[in-house]
Amino acid sequence: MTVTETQVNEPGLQESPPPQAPKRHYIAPFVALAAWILPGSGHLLLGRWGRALTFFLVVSGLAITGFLAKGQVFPPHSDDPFGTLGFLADACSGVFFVLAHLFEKTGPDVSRATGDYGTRFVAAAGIVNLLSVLDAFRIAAGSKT
Amino acid sequence: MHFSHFLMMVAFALLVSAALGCLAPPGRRTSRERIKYAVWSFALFLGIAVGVAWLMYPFSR
Repeated sequence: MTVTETQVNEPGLQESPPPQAPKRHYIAPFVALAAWILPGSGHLLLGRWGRALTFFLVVSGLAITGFLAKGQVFPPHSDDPFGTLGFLADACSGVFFVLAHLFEKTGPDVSRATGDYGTRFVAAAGIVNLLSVLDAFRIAAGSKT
Repeated sequence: MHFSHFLMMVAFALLVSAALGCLAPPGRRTSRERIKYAVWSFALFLGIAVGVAWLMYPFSR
């Protein structure tokens, strides 16, 4: 028996709403992990090219400028609480934290103000990347458009 | 490598403002609104920094 147009228009037999896009909650942690390792890659996986490029340029620009200014990259183990906080901020920049020694072959120089500014640039790169990770996670989880 | 302090401040403001433009509040959804938000953030970064510098000038010597 086929359903006629009259029957479809009746209140009890109306067509069900169109299926919504499948939820992608399960990929959110992987997107966040990718965004942390390589800045911008989380948004790239989600098809947000503009944001991906912007975050990559911003994080790489901050980190490389900080390295060239001979800013300090904090080691994992520090007796100073501020050193631990600095390490956490620096580690959030992902691959740039790992590559820091390539740029700073002679080590940091915070005896001048430029080196001190460089330390802030490296930390800011990590914080901006942390924000991008959270943004990518929220988009992947469906709580942000 | 030596950078002038002003150049570093401008570079910092420019880069962070671009990131803030991407992370603009939910009310700003269009590209035009996000760019406007980033430009406004950049102007505030520079304006407040120069303003605070002038406020500190009498105590610098």
